[in-house]
Amino acid sequence: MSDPRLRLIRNFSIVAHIDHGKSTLADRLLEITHTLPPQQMKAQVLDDMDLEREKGITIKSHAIAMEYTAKSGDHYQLNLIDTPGHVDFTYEVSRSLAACEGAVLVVDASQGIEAQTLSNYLLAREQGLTVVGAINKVDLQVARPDDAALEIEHVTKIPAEHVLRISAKTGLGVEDLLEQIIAEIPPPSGDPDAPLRALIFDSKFDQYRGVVALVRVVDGRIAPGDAIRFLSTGKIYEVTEVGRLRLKLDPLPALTAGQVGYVVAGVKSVGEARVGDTIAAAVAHDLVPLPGFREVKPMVFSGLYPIESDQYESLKEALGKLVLNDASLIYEPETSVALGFGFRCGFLGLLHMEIVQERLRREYQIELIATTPSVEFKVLLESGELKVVDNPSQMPPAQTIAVIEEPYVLAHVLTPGEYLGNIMKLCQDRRGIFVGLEYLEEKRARVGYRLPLAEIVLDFYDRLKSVSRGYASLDYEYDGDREGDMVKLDILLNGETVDALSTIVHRDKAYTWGADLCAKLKELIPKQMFQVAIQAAIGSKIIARETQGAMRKNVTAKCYGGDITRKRKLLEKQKEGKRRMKQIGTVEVPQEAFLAVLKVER
Amino acid sequence: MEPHPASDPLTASRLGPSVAARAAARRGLYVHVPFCAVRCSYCDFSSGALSAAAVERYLAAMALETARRAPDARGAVFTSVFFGGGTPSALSARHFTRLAALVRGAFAIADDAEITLEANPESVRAPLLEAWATAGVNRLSMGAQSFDAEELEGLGRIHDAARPGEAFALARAHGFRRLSLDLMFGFPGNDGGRLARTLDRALALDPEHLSAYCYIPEPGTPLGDRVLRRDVALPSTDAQADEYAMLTARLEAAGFAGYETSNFARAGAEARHNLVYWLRRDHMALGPSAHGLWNGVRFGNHYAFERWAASLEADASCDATEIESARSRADEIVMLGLRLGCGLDASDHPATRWADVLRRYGAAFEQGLALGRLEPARDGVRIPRAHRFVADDTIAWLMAAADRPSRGPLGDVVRGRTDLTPARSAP
Ligand SMILES: Nc1nc2c(ncn2[C@@H]2O[C@H](COP(=O)(O)OP(=O)(O)OP(=O)(O)O)[C@@H](O)[C@H]2O)c(=O)[nH]1
Ligand code: SF4
Ligand SMILES: [Mg+2]
Repeated sequence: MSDPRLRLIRNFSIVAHIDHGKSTLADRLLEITHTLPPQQMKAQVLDDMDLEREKGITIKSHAIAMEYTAKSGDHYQLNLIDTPGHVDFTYEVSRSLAACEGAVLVVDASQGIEAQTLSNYLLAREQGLTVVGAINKVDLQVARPDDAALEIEHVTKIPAEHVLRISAKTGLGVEDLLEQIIAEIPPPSGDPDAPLRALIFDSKFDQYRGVVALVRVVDGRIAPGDAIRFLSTGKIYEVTEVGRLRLKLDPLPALTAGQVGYVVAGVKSVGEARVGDTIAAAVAHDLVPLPGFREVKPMVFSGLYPIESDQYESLKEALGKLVLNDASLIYEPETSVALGFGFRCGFLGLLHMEIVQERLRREYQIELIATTPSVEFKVLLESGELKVVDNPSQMPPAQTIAVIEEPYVLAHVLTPGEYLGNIMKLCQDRRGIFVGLEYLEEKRARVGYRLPLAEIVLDFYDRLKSVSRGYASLDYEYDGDREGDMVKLDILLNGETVDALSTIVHRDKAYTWGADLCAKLKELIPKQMFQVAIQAAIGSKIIARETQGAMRKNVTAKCYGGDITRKRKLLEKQKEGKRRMKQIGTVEVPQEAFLAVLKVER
Repeated sequence: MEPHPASDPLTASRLGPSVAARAAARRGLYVHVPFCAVRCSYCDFSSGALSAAAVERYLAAMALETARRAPDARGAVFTSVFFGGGTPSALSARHFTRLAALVRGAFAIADDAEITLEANPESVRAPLLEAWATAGVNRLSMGAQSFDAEELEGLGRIHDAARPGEAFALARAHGFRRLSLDLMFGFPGNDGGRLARTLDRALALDPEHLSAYCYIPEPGTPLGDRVLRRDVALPSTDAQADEYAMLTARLEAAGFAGYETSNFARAGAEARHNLVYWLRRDHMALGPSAHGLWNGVRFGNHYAFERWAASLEADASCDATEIESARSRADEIVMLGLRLGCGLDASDHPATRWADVLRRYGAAFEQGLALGRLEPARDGVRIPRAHRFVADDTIAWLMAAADRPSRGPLGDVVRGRTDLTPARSAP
């Protein structure tokens, strides 16, 4: 039973498949509750990172506090957390849910239930949250709200007629939804008088304040001046500021049980205030820590190297700053013969990798080369030694290897029935092991496969979209390692192995891979001074070759008095192009070539 | 076909220009004559219609410009003068004589200076030749472009294929010993066969010097626009490269040295004035669109005749200037010097400037040598003969390499194989 003092608090997340309108719905809720002055409103106002705005997607969860006088006349404190929809960021959703009692499950009326609708619903249910359904985008011509309602009923057992139909765009039905949220989602159930326990569900780094821990106070009360302890490290700090989250931090005298807000306590490194940790009073003892989070495991690894080798230090510093706000990114130094000094980085997926690279480029002005993405292999050597290999160039020589295990995922694809055949064929081509098939209602199927992660990280999603005309959606989670007959495929440019281009592929696919990769590299490596032989090899055996002919003409015919300045400017331009290439032996290799593996059509 | 056979250092060393020719090119004076009888279809030079009134205005403005620039050049002796255009040969004998007198009145010209005049074949006539000789002109650069009637028409030239021969004979009869022919290749309609025939006709005239330019489509010119709109097709770059290789081989076989990307000369007949540009020696410049380099300042006169003349008449600035920096100077020395057959040579530059070049480019030269982009020359480096038609790639590459301030222990040029360096340091 909830403490009566918490009766007027509601904490909820908005969850959905990507693009179903979560952030737009958040906009309307902010408007109805007059949380932001009208001049501060803009579409998806909570997506405040440049990249989020540009890509039109949410990357990080955003929490914001609102106040609302309901039709009943009661004045509520609401905490809304908008979450990302992309599968790479599922862990953001589960952390956000941990701060809430309820979730609004938004379903696009023109798309129906998709893979992340389901996975996010399951996450919410696992954590015991109350789910309120909402069918969004009913203003669209192609909306099929009744179908969507039936799908929701099938999956969540919420009666179809109980699910509100809204338009986050026009605001239709949103106020009713808010009333329903208040009516159905329970208030928090903490004890304001018990010893302090607060869950850190996210953290960020602020230039002036240091680490800002985003917390859900479960029991007790926290205020500036309190001495607190982080239970996992045992370290003690003094609270300097607490408050609620608005677009900016909004200080309050205290936070009490049931509330979501932030805590600043002079913590300098995010490692000391880890997400998932419990904050307690410094004097407390025998307190049971709150359940934290499963640690997120990076799925994809790639080497990041500055194009200009003198930017190594800047890259190191920049990565250090990025992890302050992105705990899922990991990195450690590595060297490459081809590329010099850089960092091996682990990412949640390709989108995450792209975002990190893009942020390094924009926010820190570092031009990067990223090496071929790889998953993490477990390699058992004949000697009995076990090695973990996430960098293909580190794969031990084939004759020393007893067994290679590769990571698998359990993947679920949601699709209209008519594309099932295509999709199953695709999964089989990708070495998938069929797990099961069920229908959500007669037209929509959910098919499960165990798939090698290596087969899906690169281009599976795009292929899936193309064989289903964009209708299928994918969700997956790590599902252990299994043995695989993997070989290391090397790429040689003019006879020299380029370690940064090596990949680990299944033996049955090595030949087609090699040929496709050479062809793609030929497209990506421009004609240059010298002819370039592009070869693929397994061990010492060449399995594919392409030749890029030498450039024949690049000269200014006339260069007299008046031409000199003009020519110098032209050369400056050519020079800039060259600076974005990496010299490897006799060959100048452009940035994009290192990601050729992503561009091979399979 | 291996596109870039290893170059032959022996032949390359004979490419010149000779040390003596380089030493003689000390200081140049360029005079732009902005008039043409008819505008050619490919040309974007500053040039306009010829009329007595226009020439009078030109000479008057020229008097103002010489008066303005002469004080800067006090005490300087010019080793070359170049009357370019436009068509200097389109000026009447009387007008040219007045122009030459203006120039000589304002600047000190060495007795043994090379004085070149650009002439179009159709305008070469006895009275003009006499006037030119009297003014001290001792070298004629004749714009023939092609000896193919169809090509001449396509280029909008107003002389026929026989006319250059007649002009040559007339010039020789008037005692001109240094004659040069301008040719063009790689333009729409041109091909290897036609170029070969043009070369036959050109060589038959026994010129001392030849320039052969690969056509560049200039926007704003009739032919250039047609190419850019794809109304007419340009020969492929492969075809142009083949033509260049062919003409180089033909000219070398005939005893010409390709001493610069587009210039070929018999021994001792290198264009001294043009060496001034490529060796980055000081040069004064007069007339619309003329560009000079004087005392560390590059200046470019207003391009259009009208604007140039009007600004002089109004006693206003007639040019835009750019002050050189140690860096722009080093970049130019490299970019220009690598056009020469002999390449960059320390002895061509004052010691401090060469030291600047080495400071900025020393490591880049080493890498270029290691990669075969450069080869060692007398006291410097040069582009291998086989790469001359792709020289800009190496120049841009050197500039990029020079910009890289530091190199990691592995360097930017990594040779050898991938024997796995300990990639992951312990976490
Ligand atoms: N027509 C219509 N379009 C909507 C509606 N709600 C959202 N959209 C549009 O759908 C697109 C996605 O909206 P977002 O609010 O960014 O979706 P999201 O769920 O936050 O997306 P992610 O954060 O990337 O998962 C945008 O172009 C919105 O304008 C609606 O009710 N009607
Ligand atoms: S090519 Fe020479 S003659 Fe023809 S328009 Fe240009 S300047 Fe005049
Ligand atoms: Mg969003």
